[in-house]
Amino acid sequence: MDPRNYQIAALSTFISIGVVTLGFQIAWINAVVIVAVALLAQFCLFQQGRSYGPYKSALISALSLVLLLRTDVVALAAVTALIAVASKRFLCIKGCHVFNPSAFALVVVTTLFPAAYLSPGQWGALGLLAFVVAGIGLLVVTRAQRLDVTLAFLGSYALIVFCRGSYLGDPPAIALHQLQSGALILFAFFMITDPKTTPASSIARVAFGVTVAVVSAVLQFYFFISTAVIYALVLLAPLVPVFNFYSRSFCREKYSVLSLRT
Amino acid sequence: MKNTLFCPFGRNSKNNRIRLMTIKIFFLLLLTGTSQSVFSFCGFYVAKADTDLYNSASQVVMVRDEDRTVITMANDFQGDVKDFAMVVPVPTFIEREQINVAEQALIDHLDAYTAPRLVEYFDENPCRVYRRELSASVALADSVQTKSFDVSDEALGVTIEARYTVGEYDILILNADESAGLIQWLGDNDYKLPQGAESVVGSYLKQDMRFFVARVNLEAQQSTGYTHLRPLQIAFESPKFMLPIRLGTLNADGKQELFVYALTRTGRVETANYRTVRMPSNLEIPGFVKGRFEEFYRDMFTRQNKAENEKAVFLEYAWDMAWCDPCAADPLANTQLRNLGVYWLADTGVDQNNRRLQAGQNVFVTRLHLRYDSKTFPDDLKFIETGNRTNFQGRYVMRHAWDGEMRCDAAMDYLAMVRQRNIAAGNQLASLTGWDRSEIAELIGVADLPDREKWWRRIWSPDQ
Repeated sequence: MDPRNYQIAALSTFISIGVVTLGFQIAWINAVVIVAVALLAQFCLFQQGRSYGPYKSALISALSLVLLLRTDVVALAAVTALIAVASKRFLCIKGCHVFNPSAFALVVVTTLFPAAYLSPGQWGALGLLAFVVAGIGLLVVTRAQRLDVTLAFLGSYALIVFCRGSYLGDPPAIALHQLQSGALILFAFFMITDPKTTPASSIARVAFGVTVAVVSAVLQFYFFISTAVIYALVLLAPLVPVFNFYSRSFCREKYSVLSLRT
Repeated sequence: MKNTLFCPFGRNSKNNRIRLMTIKIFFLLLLTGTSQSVFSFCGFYVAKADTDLYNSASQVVMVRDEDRTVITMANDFQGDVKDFAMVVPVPTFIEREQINVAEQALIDHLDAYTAPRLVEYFDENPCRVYRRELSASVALADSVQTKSFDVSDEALGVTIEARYTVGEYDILILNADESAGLIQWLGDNDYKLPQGAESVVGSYLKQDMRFFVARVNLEAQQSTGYTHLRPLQIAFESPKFMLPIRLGTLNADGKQELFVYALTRTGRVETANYRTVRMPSNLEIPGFVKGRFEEFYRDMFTRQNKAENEKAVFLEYAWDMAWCDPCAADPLANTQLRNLGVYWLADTGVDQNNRRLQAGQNVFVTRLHLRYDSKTFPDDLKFIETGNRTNFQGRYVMRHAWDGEMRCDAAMDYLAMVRQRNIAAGNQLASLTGWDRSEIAELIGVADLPDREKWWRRIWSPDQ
């Protein structure tokens, strides 16, 4: 099974859960505009021949944006989708795009425009459960090819949070509360695992996962950025070639998630 | 007059008269609490002379713009003022001019303006069309408070970074190397701390926070001429947009209520580390709830809170401060907003009429309500300011049937419609509050209140 099909189904399910059960205010016009702009940009900016694959990747980026981006301004939704796809085309090293498209677009747009924002605290227990279940599903579909980076990130982030709690003398309930965040789990399974923007070798991916966790914790606890994980991923993405260089592996995948095809 | 409004409501073709009523839910909760003294901000009260003091409900106004915060802590302390003491963790050192004492009326006004509201509609005579008007009133309760004072200092690794008298308060800004020293210092100085305070205080100290300690200066308090304690205000600059609630849970008797009013430039405020949920709103409820609105709202809150496993923060109001519809109270004037810390507003001092005409004051108000203890809300509240300017209000509607004489064919249809409407409203009420269905059925004058209208009744006995 093409993991991209699975990802598209999972993201659509999350959006449905968010809107139907959790009361997310996702305007349908935003969703339509984001998907349309992303697919159109993919068509205009890339030569993809007859393959549907690239459109699936663009759709995954678009659905991630529908799920995470909040704004009342439709134009901003369109700009975000355009930035996501364009970043693949123009921010590229040796055929590999540097940034996770949706993470990069979200960071750029929410930093520049106050009218666009992320809503990290709204998943609740149901969202958390859905992400864990779907995340495990993704591991099954991809034959756990990116399990290393997920575990390295989650494990080291949890360790940091517990160590910090222990240093502060806080009860474990606080650390547990901080880890039971839907946004964190979504990120660990569905964003940091993007093969195109993570290192190619397993050992480098583990190192990358740990680094992202450390930077996330610093941004979260010392700079008080509530969406620290996404910022950390975008900040560290330019270092991926360095990780690759030291592990003597190179990005060969032509399109995002293509290497996960089983 | 200000509360008599005609709202373009829904598709109901009847011309209705409406009446608006707001209830001071906050005060209700307070009065039904304990007979002893109550309240704390996110800090805790520490009693002298072993007086048992409880936290129950708090009101906090937070003005936030970029890294700047102005926090106003309502003081509904009800006890001997000399027993009053408040300890609040603050993220930075606070200078004298960063502290102010405000008027309680400001918070009362903001509370009234943002309170959940009940709107009444009166059906017209279905056989004729004519209008009557009815004026409305807003019930405003007033809180009554009391006051007190004392101070001293010492070493123990505790640094008294500053000492001020502001209004009726003596204020210390404390820092310490470690929590044990600070706890002992506070104990030596007659601040009775609740169990478990040490680890929480230690955690805040390690996070580089100071402690803002306030007590009442009796002399200063007498010279102010006020009979109640006024709210304390602190202005500071810090990237932390949070409210330290952990200390408040320590000496609390059960769960506490907290109301946070956020005033921002950009849009609605929500919690980043807890779910923020909208209260069910714009719902029709039966007419008999009019006299029991406080009870209705409290029970609905309890039920909604349970549905979210008691781990959610509820949005009760989010609105552009320039207007309201319907208004539970007038929007706050620029002068009032400036006094609360909205520094970016020009203090034009315009009168009521002018102010009402100003569109977009660039102030957005959010009212959040939570019921918390250390189990369901283990961590402090962390907020984010969103770009969302969608207006939201807790608004509940009751429609009163025409009870005068009706002589026309349309009357039968009208009565059947009213009956269906009552049943729907009764069901709504039962599902919102969990009130007993048979009791609701009796009060709205129907035989029973089925979960769902039985469809076969429409076939053979449509009037049942």
